[in-house]
Amino acid sequence: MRHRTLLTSVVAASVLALYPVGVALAHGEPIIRVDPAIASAGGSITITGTEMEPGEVFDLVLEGAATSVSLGRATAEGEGEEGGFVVTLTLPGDLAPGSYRLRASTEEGESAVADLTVTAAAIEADPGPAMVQEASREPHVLDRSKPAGQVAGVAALAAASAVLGVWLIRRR
Amino acid sequence: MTSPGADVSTESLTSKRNSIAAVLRERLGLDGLAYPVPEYANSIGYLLGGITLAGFVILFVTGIYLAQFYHPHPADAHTSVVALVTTVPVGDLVRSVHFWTAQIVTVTVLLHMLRVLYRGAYKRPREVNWYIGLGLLATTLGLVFTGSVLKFDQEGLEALQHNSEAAEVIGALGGWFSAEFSRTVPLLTRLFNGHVTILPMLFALLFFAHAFLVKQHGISPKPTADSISRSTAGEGSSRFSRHVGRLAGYGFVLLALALFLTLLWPAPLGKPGVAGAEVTKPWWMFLWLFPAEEMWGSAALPVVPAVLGLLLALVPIVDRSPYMSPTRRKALLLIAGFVLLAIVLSGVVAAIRPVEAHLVRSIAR
Repeated sequence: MRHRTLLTSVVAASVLALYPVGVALAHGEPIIRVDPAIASAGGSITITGTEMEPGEVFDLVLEGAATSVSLGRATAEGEGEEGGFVVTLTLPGDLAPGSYRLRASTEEGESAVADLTVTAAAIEADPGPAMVQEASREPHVLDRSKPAGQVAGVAALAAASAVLGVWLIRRR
Repeated sequence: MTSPGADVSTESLTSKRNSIAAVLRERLGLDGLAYPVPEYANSIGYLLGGITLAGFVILFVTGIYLAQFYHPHPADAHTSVVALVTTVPVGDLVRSVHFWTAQIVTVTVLLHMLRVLYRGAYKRPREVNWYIGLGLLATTLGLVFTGSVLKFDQEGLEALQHNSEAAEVIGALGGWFSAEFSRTVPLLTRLFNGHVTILPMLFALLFFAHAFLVKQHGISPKPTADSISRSTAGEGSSRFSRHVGRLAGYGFVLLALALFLTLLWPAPLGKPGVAGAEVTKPWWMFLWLFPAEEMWGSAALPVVPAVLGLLLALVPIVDRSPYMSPTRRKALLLIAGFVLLAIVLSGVVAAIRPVEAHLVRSIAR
């Protein structure tokens, strides 16, 4: 009997303790998604938030290994308990390339994270003569000419390798 | 006519050479390599696995050189490759040999697998080695994929983006392949680690297991009309040392081919990658996935290869008869041929069609 009372008390206490959490997360854990997951500094990204309570205000912060950059705020919209947001914003042009974690958090302590890899701004990343800002399938224009001696050396090495190979294959 | 003095000198040289060879044989235990293998094991079809290994030796050596100058960070990767090509002594040549050897090795490893499949060399007692071989194939393709990303030109960056999309599809299993695995180390850097440490280590472990089981079971019997699969260890009129000699010979021919290709067509390098765009096509070994991606989206990138791997894994389970002759395994080979044809056709379609069509179909899906 005593055990039963104790068990009932523990279950009741647990339910009471978890009740506020249940209320707060009635809409589930907030989720954010960043698209594209790899973006260049100065490029634009779209952040989509779901599983949020309409009216909640989220601070959007990009957290890097060394720095944190505020990207502004987004307010969840929707009806009932299902809300979310979609914001498109431009990343700072001077953002250092690397791995970042985008955090959306409310003053009440709710937060969601998504990862973002930032590459150098296209115009800065190009060290060669062909400066481009748009994606291109063209080959990088480089001076790949080699001294005649080097070409002759490689050709001689290739020929020697072929002769040695054939000799080893044919050897009884 | 030769003088008696010259005869003595030649005899002394031959004797000295023989004595050096004897010393090396004794000290290095080389006689242990002279165990019997069948004569047919010295034909090129049975040497494809060994030729692949020779290619990996070239990749290992050239890779060490390239790693001294490559900077595996998104901000510096492409710049470091440009510097490698334009300023590092023989950097462009070594990179091109690495590139061409990777292409050749992919061909030889695929041919090796197809030969084993066609000749029924996966049958008892070699089933486990078939699975290890599949692991080696997957590792090789993993090395090729990570290698294609590292140059971080437009094609490399798009491959990285596809990698991230595929990682997202497979959820927790794709954790390591996603950017969120590590906050402080970029995905590109981790793929470089995979390319130079994790995958080569895995390859080495699988290779030693593969070679050990080949030694234990012997070379698979020739698939004549009534031949059955069995262990052939210790049988044959040739010697393994002779087998290794021919293998080394093909290795040198492979090096010569890679060097000639290097002189004719240096390894390609595109312009720096711009994120969020898709204007290039992947390398030929992944190109066949393009139409599948159009049909089923990013999910196709991990799922289609996984299904293909599963089908290959089922081969020794489905085909359990001991007969090796292809004529006794017509149904299985017909299905395998159909799948292979579908892959080749898919690759041809993707190669012919412009990238714009791929994008339109992918977006419309």
